[in-house]
Amino acid sequence: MEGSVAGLIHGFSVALDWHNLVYCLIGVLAGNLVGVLPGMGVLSAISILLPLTYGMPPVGAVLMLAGLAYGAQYGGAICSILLNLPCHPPHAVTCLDGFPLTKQGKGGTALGITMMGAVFGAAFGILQMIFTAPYIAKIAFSFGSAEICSLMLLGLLAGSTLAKGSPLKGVAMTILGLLLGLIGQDADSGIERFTFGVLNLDDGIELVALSLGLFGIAEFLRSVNNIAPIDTAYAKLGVSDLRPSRADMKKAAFPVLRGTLIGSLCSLIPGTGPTIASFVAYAAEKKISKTPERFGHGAIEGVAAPEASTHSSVQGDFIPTMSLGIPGDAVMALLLGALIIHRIQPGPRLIIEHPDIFWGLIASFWLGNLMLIFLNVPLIGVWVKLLMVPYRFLFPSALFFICIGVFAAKNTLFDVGTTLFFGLFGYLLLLLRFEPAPILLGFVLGPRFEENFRRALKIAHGDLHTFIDRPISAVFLALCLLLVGTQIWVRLRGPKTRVAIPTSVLDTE
Amino acid sequence: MNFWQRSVRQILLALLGLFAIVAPAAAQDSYPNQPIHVVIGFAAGSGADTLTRYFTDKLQALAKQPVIVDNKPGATGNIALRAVTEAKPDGYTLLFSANSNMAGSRYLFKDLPFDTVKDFVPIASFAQIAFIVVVSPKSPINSIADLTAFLKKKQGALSGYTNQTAQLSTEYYKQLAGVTTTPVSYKATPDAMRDIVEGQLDFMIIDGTFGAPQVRQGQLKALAVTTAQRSPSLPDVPTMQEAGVANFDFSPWWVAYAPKGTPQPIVDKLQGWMLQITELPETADFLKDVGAVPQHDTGPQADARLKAELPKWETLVKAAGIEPQ
Repeated sequence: MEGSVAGLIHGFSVALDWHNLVYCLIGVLAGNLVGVLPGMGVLSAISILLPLTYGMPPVGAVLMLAGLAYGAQYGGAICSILLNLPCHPPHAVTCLDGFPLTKQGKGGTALGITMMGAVFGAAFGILQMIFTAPYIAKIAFSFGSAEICSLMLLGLLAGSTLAKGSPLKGVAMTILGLLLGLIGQDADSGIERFTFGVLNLDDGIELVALSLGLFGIAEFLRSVNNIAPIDTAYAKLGVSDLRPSRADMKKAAFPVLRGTLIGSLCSLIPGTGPTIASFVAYAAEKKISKTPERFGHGAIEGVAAPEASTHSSVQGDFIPTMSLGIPGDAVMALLLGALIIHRIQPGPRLIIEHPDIFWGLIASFWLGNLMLIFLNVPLIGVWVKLLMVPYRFLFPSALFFICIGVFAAKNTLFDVGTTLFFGLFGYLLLLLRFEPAPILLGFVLGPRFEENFRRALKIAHGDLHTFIDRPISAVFLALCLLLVGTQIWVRLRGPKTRVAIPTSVLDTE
Repeated sequence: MNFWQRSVRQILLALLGLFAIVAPAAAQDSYPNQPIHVVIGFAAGSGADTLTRYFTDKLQALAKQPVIVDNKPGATGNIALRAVTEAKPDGYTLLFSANSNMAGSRYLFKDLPFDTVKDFVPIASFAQIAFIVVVSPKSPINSIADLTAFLKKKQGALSGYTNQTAQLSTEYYKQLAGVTTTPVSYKATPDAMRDIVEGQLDFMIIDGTFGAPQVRQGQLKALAVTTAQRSPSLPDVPTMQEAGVANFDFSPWWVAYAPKGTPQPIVDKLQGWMLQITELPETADFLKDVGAVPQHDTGPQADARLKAELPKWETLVKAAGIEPQ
């Protein structure tokens, strides 16, 4: 413990150095910008900035790139809430309740709550990294393929509740997502599935293209016919709407806490990133809530929990990367690449050999998040005014940014075409009153479920008992049964009947 | 049109014709006078990308023009290959690729719209990455001999891989040592790391860029490297050949390519630069950090080297039971 505190003090002295402070600032500013622009991911942004870091001192380089990674989470919620356009997949769930809030004139409130969730989530993630980094690794290692498979199954079952309408439609969309996730080359056997010989489909459909198409473009197509009513509704936003009320903050407090915990859990488990964390947090909130029917129509919990979870998940992602040298995802791999270019070997000895980098990074997390709060909170008003820009300018500009962002993912126009295709398809779904959110869930969780299922069986030499023999996996499977069981039980019991008040009681008084 | 107008027109056309002939020649002499694009089939931040960016950085200094890396990941590198075959062969679009891609794609895929041997002109080879045979640090196995003996006794041993080169490398070892294992594939390295350290997998062949730091820090135990010479980043680890597996030399080596039809003077110029860069002591230092060694084949030597390897790849793909897609 003392070692951590001493390290932290050292870290602050490094991070507060003028040069490093500026590098950190550039990183978070760039990150925030990247977060606001739809589609353009952290990955593309880091790869653009990476050559610039060659001439920089290693500490500065790492601080800047890390700032990009967590800064991007701050901007992502803005478009989701105000325009129903998820700039990045982790913020897709935020659209579900964020946009209805905006339509009710409470867009500023939603953004304010998001900031609250962001700070809390990030702070938790940082504290986790400081004090628990060594223990984290142990937990992460006990999650084998069987455990992850059962967890994915739980997620899929729980997630079909994401739809606000008929559960049958929710399940149908989840299955559609599963089917879409099949497209591509199978990792195990190398066989191409449903690619129809198209080379660009070998790696499957690009997630960013799918989410922007289904959520963004489909929504645009729907709104294009309804311009007049929305124009006037937004114009009614007053300044008082920008600050969340006490009541809202109270309502959001526990969801933020729960979301944060879920986010940090997800950051520990390899392969589960902020996207899954946000879905799980939303589904959990909906399940726990006493009034689940409010979700999808502007429940503040539906905004607070996913946002807190993405932030804590992103901060938590740094832990295995910095303490073990094992990157949790592509963004972390890039960060490690930057370290290697600067001749710094990542791994468990990093904290000993280069305390500047490790503790300086952690200290910069605090500073960076602080800078982001000071940057974003005053800007909430500016963003909300963005809504007053007439649709005929707003939408084409957003479409323009979407195309650039999607193209930047893999440098190919094929993905832009994919976005368009799913935009049209998503519009069709909206017309038929299907919800697109479960598609994303099925698409993200399905392949991971399959991959881990097959691998777990291979390792167990074909013995299906492995899923029950391993304790953590058994727990998740039991939760699955519980989940499905309660749904069936509730249905069988019939709708909640109103308590029949005997007329005799009413007659007295 | 009267006589004068026709004549002026003819003269102008003739002059234009002259320019057309002169222009490409001028382009060759003044090559490069535009930014050069180097296409690779890996995403930004990957080991391959890190490797490439070092060389493009140095190339930029020599060429005095910006050298930009175009990441075109996908389809196991085939998207990048296709992009380069579709580009103009004017020396401004190059490809950095490994033999694993050029040889592997030939046998792993049917109906590719290009031929990996005929449609590319090798410029020079520049790096070779060692793959490392690793086991869990908790494992009682300490050498390849131990491993072979262990695998011969154990039923249903498990080996892991995260990419096709590692998979084929494992097949090669199994062939030469006369053992069998069940291969388990991993999309992401962290998952593989977890399973090898926990002992779910009996051994794994892992790429040096990621593996060498892990071995040095004690997270993994290295039994051998797959190159013919010892790797400078892990000087204490024997080669497979030293460990008793004769003729084992299976590691990706990287070559710079230009599309077929690129003028020879441009290819020669690029070859000169690449060979210059690989001779620098700084290059050897950098490559050591990423678990690689410099290579110095000229274009024709790289071509011959690849052609010599093709039969080996063909048999390994069949042995691994991979169906060409």
